Amino acid sequence: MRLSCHNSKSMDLTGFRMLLRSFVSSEDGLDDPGISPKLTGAGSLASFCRTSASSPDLPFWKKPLIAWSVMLIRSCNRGLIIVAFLLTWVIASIPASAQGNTVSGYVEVDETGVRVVGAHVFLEDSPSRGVVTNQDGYFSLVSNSDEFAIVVSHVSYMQLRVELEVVGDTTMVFQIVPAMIMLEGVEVQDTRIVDEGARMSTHHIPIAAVEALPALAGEVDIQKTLQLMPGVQGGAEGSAGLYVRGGRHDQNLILLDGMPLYNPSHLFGFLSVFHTAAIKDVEFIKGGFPARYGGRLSSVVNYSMKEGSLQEFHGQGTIGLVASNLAFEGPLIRNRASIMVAARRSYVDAIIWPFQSEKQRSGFNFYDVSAKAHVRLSNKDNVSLSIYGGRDKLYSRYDNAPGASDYTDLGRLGIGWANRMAALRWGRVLNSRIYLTASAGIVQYERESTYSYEFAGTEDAGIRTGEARRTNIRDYVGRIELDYVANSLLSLRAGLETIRHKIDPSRETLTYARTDSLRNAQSFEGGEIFTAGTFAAYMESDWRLRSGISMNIGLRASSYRNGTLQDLDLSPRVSVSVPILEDFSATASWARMSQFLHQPISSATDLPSELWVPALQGLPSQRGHQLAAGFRGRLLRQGFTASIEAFDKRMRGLPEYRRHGEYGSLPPIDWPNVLTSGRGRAWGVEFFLRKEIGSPKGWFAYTYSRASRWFDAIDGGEPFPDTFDRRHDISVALTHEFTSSVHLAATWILGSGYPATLPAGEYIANTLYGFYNISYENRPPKVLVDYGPTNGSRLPPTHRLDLSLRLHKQFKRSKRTWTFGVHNAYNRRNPSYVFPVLSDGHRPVQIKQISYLMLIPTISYSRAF
Amino acid sequence: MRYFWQMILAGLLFAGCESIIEVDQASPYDSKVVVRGIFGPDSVWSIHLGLSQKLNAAGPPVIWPDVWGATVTVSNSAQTRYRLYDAGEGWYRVRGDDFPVAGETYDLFVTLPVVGELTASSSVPEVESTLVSHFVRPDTSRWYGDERCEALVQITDTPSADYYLIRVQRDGSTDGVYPKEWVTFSSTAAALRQSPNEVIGWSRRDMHSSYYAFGAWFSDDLFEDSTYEVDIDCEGSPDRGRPYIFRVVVMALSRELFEYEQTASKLQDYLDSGLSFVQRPPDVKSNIVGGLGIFGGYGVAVHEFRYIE
Repeated sequence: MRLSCHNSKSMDLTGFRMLLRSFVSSEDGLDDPGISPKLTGAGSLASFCRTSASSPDLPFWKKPLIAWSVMLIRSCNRGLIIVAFLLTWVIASIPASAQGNTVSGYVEVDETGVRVVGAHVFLEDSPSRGVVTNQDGYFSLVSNSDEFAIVVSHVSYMQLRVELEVVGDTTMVFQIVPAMIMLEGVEVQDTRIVDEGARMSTHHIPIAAVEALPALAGEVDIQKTLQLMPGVQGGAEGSAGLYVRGGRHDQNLILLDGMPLYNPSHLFGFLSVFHTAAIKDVEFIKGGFPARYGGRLSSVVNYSMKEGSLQEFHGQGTIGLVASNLAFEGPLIRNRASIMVAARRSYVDAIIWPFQSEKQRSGFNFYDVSAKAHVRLSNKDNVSLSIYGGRDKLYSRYDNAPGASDYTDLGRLGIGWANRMAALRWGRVLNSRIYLTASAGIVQYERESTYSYEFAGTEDAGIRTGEARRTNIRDYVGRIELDYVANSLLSLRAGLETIRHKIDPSRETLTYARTDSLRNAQSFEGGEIFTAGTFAAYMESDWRLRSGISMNIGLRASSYRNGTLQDLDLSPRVSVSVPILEDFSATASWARMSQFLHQPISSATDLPSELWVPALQGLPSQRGHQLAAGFRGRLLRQGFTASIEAFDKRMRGLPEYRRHGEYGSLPPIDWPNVLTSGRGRAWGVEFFLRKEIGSPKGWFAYTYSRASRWFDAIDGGEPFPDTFDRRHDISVALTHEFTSSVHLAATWILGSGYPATLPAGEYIANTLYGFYNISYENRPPKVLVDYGPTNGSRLPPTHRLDLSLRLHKQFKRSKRTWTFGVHNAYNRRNPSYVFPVLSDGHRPVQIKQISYLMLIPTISYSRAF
Repeated sequence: MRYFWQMILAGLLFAGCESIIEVDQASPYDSKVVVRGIFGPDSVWSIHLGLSQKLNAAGPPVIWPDVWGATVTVSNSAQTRYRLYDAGEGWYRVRGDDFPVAGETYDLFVTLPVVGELTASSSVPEVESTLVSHFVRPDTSRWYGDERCEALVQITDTPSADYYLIRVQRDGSTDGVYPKEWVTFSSTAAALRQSPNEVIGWSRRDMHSSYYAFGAWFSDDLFEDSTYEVDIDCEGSPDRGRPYIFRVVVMALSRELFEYEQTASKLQDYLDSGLSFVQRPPDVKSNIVGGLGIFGGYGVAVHEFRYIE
């Protein structure tokens, strides 16, 4: 055991106020934040380091893990043996002692103490040897020298550079300042150099950038911003759907604090459920997936919920046209525990309520509540509890006999869906190089559509019928993960994940009752509940070679069981980055993915009306693999970054309804006879140019892509374009700060038309339906349509300009923002959907287009304190 | 339903705009020969041939071309051939009074000079059904003096019948009368309810604008070789002063005809429902090899009962 401690010498402030807090090298003191001295003041710095003890004996945490591995191997289960193998590999690869000086700790926001996820921490003289802070803002970095400079960089914060001289292991806390907070008169020369390692096809979306862009009806939406990324389609006009690199929207793994959400949308898909006041970080991955992610084929959207400030109370509220929201955060125990609560509620129903009668009433509302409590039990332990709940509800009550006084004739329609999530997460620093994360949670999604009719006469004669369809999903999720920094060139991550699904895809309830004595009430309920389980083990390693080449190599083993179906999948993942010039690197990745839950779709929209069906006997799981390659780098010194990527994605096991038009008559059972499986392929090229520094900021994205499908049961197995196959897609987003209080933003999109299955021909035919008692030849002919090939037509192209103007005013204790915006500024009639109108035998069949979201002005008011 | 969906979207999104558009087709459309050949033991052989037309939404009124000069032959399992002559306007009829025979299977051959040959095959199912009980009586419990009727039909599963169609018809003049009637088909067969894909319209239907027919379509695969009962319950305002006749029509449909009717019905529902933007459209299933339309047989039994006020 060696004890040593040196203080750092100097610090480069890069033109802004900076705080650096370090704390003491005491075994006891490390567990007690109370004795960690906070050092403030520009230019002053003290760093304390602690000594780590290395022991040749097995650490306490290794013993149970190895014992568990042996137990799994003894179980003789093929899937579990692979898990055990991975686990043993990880444990064995962790050396008892490691070379170099370890600097570990947290990156957090100045003033609030909130930990920063996704910050790059790297050695200045070798940017390729860096790490990214995890969900708890923790990092561990190894340097082979005793004197070095560390740079902390994040797209939303000013870059921090610290010179250190240390021997041994040091624990530090870096405090960084949001990029928008700058001292007056200070010239900021951003020297951000972020090496993303081997990662590619990944976007980090700053919440500030999301909030700065125009928003439909004033409702800021993170997923709408994701739609502006290259390779992403938004689906129907205005919706918040994500169709990534030729995939479908059920192929996106949408995580909220590590828990998967199934249909995170409000307002029939026009808004996502993610409230920017409650989100602190969004990571969007569309290729080169790390092994820690699995269960979906096309993308990962990883939302991290914001933690409350540990220092003081803050809040903000916004009043908009459609909804209002309120967010509040603050310390429960100063510097130790915090809470954040954000809530939103629409009030369209309340506005139209006075204009409707009691018998004729329709309305719509949604709400969501996000909350997170975070406790720093010690400097080693972080515990958080995240909760989300949201619901949409549409109702319509209509009266078929509004003038009648002696009888009633009423109908009711309703559609509702809800997401709920609770997640408990524990992060612990096992030692300076190993971080343990354990989490458990429950996720629930339910959807219900109901129809009922009621007739009541004067003499107790009446009829009452009802029909309801329900979908219910409940997941129990458990995950444990280890991060280990072996040395300055290698870091490892391994984990186990288990999900127990309880899925009721479609439960149908029919009721019929008469209130007289002639009939007894009849009811019918049908459906099948599936209890399925997924168990996954994964291991990934980040290699940073001395030549500058970075690699992420991983393997994910998944075992799935549903009834008699057992499915084992091994998904290797590889990403490589090779520097080719000073500011440029070539990247490539290959990833295999699997998906055990299906959302069969016939849809051209992102309505929450689809069903989730687990893979089962006769309905295989989905598999896919994606190859991507490209270049990325800085174009100019003024903060331009650019990337170009080509991808080729192959998929199989894609679900579709076996018969056309099954949507309206879904049976509650026998899914293999209702659904069929097919193949898909998507390929394309994406170009992305982004300016993150100075003003204006923004990006330009262009995608050329093709997406095709093959189903034996459709078009005789011939290929047809996917519903969201879009050849050309351009997105432009710009924000400009005229002054510190006047900000203008604009987004413009242009995309070629989506394919659609529309009538190609029409013909006269007879049917029996309704005409039996008329002689056969005299039966009125009926016009039917010949649809031709699936998706054989193309809709008109889509383009739209959205604008917003934000006026800020800073008061002594609060900040006010007025936002004025206009959606679809030049009133373009983009197709929301199209449908054929049958002729009467003399007039041709017509194709009608419905365009929603025409020119919509918006205004909102928000106040932050 | 379309209005329901539009209400949802329009109500939430403030404004919507409907317009007629032209869409690009990936490939040119080739017209196809359309066969209209529904046949049963209650009518002589008669088949119509026409052509489908390319969709031209902005074009002039449609003129539906007939096909003439075709050689149309129908043969049964004993290889007896019936040559249908060209009766004009696309109709081809048999000379004499040859009727399709229940229990027989027929093949259609259509030869056209340019198009080539179209073929199809279907059968005329036998139907065995009995009207077990019925009544029609004034319903004194209702405020406007409706009728109330019930009929119990028993169907015997036969080897040749694949599907059944149950209709309730009300005969009699409806001059100036727009009856409001409700017919509810309910079944004790649980299998029917669990396999809605094998059923068309088995549940409640209204008769706002028609007086003659309603249907419950279902597969007899679900009967498990047992008898099957259909309970018909209806109520409405009769045409006072005239004979009021109910007919319960039991039709046995060939599989081809059932699937054609089923998909045509689904297409109509699809177009009426407003769901055309959330799902792929149903294809009308045709058994014509080389063309469109239907060559499908049915068997029929009619049970009649009347009520005179």
